[in-house]
Amino acid sequence: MNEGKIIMVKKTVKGTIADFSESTLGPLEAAGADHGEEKEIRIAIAGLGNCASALVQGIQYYSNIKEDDMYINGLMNPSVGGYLPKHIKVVAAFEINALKIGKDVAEAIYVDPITTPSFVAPESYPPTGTIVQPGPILDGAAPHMRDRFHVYDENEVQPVDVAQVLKDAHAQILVNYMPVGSYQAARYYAQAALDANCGFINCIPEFIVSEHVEGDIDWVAEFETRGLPCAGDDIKSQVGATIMHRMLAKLFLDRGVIVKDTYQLNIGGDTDFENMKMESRLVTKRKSKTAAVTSVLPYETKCRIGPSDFVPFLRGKKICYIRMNGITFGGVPLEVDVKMRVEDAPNSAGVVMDIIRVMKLALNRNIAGRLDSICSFSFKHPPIQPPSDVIAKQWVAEFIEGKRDR
Amino acid sequence: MTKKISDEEVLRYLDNHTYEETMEYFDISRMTVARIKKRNIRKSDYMPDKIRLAIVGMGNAASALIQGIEYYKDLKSASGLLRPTLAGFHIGDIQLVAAFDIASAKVGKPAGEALAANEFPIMVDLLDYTMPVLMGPMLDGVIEETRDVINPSSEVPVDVETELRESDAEIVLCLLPSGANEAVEHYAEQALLAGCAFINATPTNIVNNKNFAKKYQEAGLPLIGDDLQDQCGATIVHKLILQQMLDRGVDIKESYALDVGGGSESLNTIFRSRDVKRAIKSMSVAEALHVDAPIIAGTSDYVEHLGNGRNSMLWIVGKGFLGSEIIMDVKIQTEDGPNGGSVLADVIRATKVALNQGASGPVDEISAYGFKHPPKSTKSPAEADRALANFILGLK
Repeated sequence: MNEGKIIMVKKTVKGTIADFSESTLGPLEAAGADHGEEKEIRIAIAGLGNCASALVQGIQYYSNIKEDDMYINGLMNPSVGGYLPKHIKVVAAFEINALKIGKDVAEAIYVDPITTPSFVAPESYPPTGTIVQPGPILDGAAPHMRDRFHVYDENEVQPVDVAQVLKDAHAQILVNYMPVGSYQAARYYAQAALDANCGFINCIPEFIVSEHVEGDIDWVAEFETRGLPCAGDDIKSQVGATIMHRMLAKLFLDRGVIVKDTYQLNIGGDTDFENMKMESRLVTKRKSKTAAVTSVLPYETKCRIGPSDFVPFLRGKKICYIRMNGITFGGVPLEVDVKMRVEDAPNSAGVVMDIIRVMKLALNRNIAGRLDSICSFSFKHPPIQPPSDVIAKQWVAEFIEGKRDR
Repeated sequence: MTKKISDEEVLRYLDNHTYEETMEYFDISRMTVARIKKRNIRKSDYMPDKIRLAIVGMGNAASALIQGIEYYKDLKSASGLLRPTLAGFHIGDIQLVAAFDIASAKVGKPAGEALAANEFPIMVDLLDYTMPVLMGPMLDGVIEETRDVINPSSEVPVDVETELRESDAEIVLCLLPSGANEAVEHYAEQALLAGCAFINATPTNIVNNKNFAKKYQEAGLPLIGDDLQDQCGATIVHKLILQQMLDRGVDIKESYALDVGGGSESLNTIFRSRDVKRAIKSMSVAEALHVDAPIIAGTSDYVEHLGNGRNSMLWIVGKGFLGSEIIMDVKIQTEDGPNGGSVLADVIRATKVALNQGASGPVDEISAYGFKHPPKSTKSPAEADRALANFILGLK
């Protein structure tokens, strides 16, 4: 591990294609940052699992970077409107894992069943002063996951009133990291965010921001009325299966190759994949992942995308097999096979780090409701699926500069 | 000069006398007797019987097997066959005498036509297969998720035992979907009552079920299974690579062999029997090799548009000298139906041999050769091959 060491690549070649995609996400002045006082983004985390572990470790790992640093490993945007990773403070955390409850966040992010690699050594992480609180269980733990999650005994532990804790901690943003398939739990936390005046980031494939689910509260309208921003749904990794697959589909489309059929298989060994063994929990997950790819193509194609299997020894690693069968000139076939191995959780943390900072800008500017640009850029199932990820990135840059409202 | 003797005379005399007596009586040499005998022998005396087979489940595997029987009948080339002849039996000697299914697209139709309802395409002429496909008892052969694909017929199921007796079947081949435990057990029961040998290609425990093993033993009938092994599929390639690494002193650190397919078998596996099937596959590998490392093998996903195709991904990490890592990353593309066909052809003929030999109960030599979960597995495919060859020759 490159513990504590950040790899920085100096830009040497001018006029490369990198110039095009390098949209520096805004200088401090335009961003409307809170001048004078100590810059601080007070976040609360619901579900201190692998993704949260990577995010929290990242705050420490990137604590030394400066505003004008460029090309840093794992960060798409070292600075967002003047906010750096070190400005993010975890002020509240909710869990159902008895081993994590009562511990300092700095300690809880290394507790079983976390499989994310410790790129910041546990002993070198200073205490945050934030103690992990018991959240309500609801449908967050599937029956087959109760042991694995070390779910607390409901007779002994009383879950806290999340909204109250958020208020007491002066949290500004609540990040929802419930397991896939947590319909009720995700909505409980969304409600708590509303009640406590927090912005809400929904990292999981429950359709709260992107779609109005039949028989559900119109969450976006609720957030808008309370003057709060929200973003979702289902986080898109930095370079993950979805974005890779989208890019290939776009390439085929742009170059006139018809996608005859395609699949994307994902296997992993963490609790996310173990949780997703239950087919009924991942209806929305499949929908979200499939739409992210099929939305690129203006025609129907045979497509299968899924969390496919749970292979325990992979731990935090995710393996993805993409297969594309195309038809080219003269009906001649073209086949593409991609295999990708990646640590899953850190791959999402870099994205969440950007969303948090963009949402902070929205809070500073009193922008309420869904943040379309960052949603399109950072989520698999956004309200508006962008025509391409490059364009989405442009939208975000414009938002940060204050050229776009959302 | 020797007088003219008719062949008929010699043969008639030979019926009641020894070679020596015949030689003396007619004053001819031993070779002449042999020549007379040879040129008059009726074909039926040395041609083995047909193998009367009943198939349960007219899916892709059945389609491949039956098309194979026709395909190789008059073909000189044996490319794709494991054994062109087995104990004198040609693959063309396998004769379909009864077929059971539950899909409305198949029941009541001539067998040849019914097979066209599968994903696996029809490549040979099956006009001779006119016997209608019989409606079998449904039991747990269909689950919610496969109901739309299979679309079960509403016809009244036949009595399997009666049908088997009437068709004079001698071997019942069970090709039901994975996890249809009740249905497989029912057919195993019926085959027993009808006095047929039973081949279980599904992962349901039949041969590994002591109760069934005992019943077949007592009835004097061969019992073969469980879970058919492909001719050259992920399981066998995976096993061979692992074996090779172990033989070369490389420790296995971790390994998986995962596959996806598009047939109703894959859909069925995902929703019903993933864990059973996985246990079998993982065990089949780990057991045979005595590896103490995480090994995962099984079906991962259902990709509808693959149809009868199957993609398998193999991943093996070994530890070599000084702990250096050796990584194997293999992708195998196969077609499901035909991959089982050649093995089935061998297993069916070997079962016929077992019947002729009067073998009763589980026949380990055949099970270890053609199945993933035999009661007694062999160390390597080569060993299983030898054991089968010895069995056919009647050597123990």
